[in-house]
Formats: sequence, C-alpha cells, structure tokens
Amino acid sequence: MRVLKWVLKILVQVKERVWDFFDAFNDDKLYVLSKTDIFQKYIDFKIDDIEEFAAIYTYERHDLMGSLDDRESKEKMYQEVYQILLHLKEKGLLDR
Amino acid sequence: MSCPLKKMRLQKTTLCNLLAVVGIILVSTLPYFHDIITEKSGIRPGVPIIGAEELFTDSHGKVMGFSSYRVFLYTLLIHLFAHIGFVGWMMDAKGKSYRIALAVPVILSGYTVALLLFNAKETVFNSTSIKFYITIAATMGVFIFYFLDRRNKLNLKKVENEHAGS
Repeated sequence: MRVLKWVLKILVQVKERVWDFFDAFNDDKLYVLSKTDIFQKYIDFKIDDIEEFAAIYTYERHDLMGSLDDRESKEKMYQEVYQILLHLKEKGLLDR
Repeated sequence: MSCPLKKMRLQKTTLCNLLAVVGIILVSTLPYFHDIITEKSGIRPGVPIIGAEELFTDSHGKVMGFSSYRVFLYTLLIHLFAHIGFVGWMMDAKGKSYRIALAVPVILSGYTVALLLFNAKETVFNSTSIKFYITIAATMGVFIFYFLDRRNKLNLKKVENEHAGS
C-alpha cells in the first residue's frame, strides 16, 4: 500500500512537470528574466514606483528584442517583473 | 526633420512586410509548382535544364522512388506546403492553449518531408504499424487529460487575456 502511494505521488509530480512544459510551450516564453538585472536596473533608474519601473523595464527589453508589437509577451513580462519587485519590496530590500 | 534611425526602422519594417507578402504568395504556389516546370510528357519546353531530374533518378528509372519527376515534385511540395502552413500556424498561436496540439501535425508533416527527401519512402521508416495508431491515440489521450485537468487555469488565463485586450 505504501509503495502504491509512493508511485501515485511520483506520477502526480511527473504529470505536473509535463503540464508545466505544455504551458511553457503554449506561452512560448522566449525571454529569461534575471533578478539581479532587474534589481540593478531598479537602482540605476531611480524610480520608486514598482509598477512604473516594471512598465519601463518591459518596454526597454521588448524594444531591444524588436518585439514591441507582442502584447501578450509584454503583459507577461510586466506581471513577472512586478511580482519579483513586489516580493523584494515586502522583504524590505528595495528601501533606499 | 525626421530622425534617421526612425526612418531606417520604418524602411526595415517595410522590407520585412514586403518579404513576408512575397513569401506567403510563393508558398501558396507550391502545390502547383510541378505544373509550372513539368508537363505529363516531361519537363516543360523553355524551362532551363539544371540536371535535377537526372540527379534524383536511380538506375531503375525511378525518381526518388516515384514513377516520374512530376509525381515526386507534386508529392514533396504538397507535404512541404502542409508543413509550412502548420509551422506558420504554430508560430502565430503563441499564448493559445491549443498550441501544443499543433506540434503533432508539424512533426508528422516534417517527418514525411524528410522521408521523401532522403528517399526512404519504400523503407521501414514509412510503414504504418500499430505503434503509429497507439502513439496517435496516446497523444490524443494525454492532450485531452491536460485540457480537462488544467481547464480552470486555462479558462482563467483566457479571461485575463480578454480583459487585457479590452
């Protein structure tokens, strides 16, 4: 019985991994975000509002990639950058 | 006075759009290409002889396993046409929940094109076995399970995208 539970647990984990891969394939994530880069740019840009910074950072990255028309990608990156900064802010790491 | 960098970007965009337009029209002619360069009796008069037909013809008089150059071209280009179409659709379907399913026709048509190009039509690589049907059924089962298992998340994403678009 214990073995069966263990096998089921492994199967569920594998299933979640496969579903995550499908999600990533569907979303076609072509960029990689670096927390260090975001933090460094946040310090350099001297913008306190994290929403404003996330929008500017997203615009800059998409301008460099030449994909300013890709609205879905911009929205996705904006949300990710915002969440990273929010997490850092809650930890008190963004206090100047 | 206009910025030269902005002008250059606009020119690049125009060129890319023009190339895309020409490319799409050229791809659309692929299933008819065999009619352009060949006729039932052979290569059409006036078409330059580049030696492709001789290159692909074996000692038994078969062209890459086909009875004639015309049939080979038609079969190859119609599969290539389907492959390009599915790849284009997959490239355009970024962010859509069904995008993963498009990998199946892309792989199938790509495999067939590779088979034809490598003259492997008559080999075991082209034989349809029970494994093929099992693979297709299993793939379908996995995708259906994926959709049912993640339907809440996928539907939520769809609603979010609609809100972002409005």
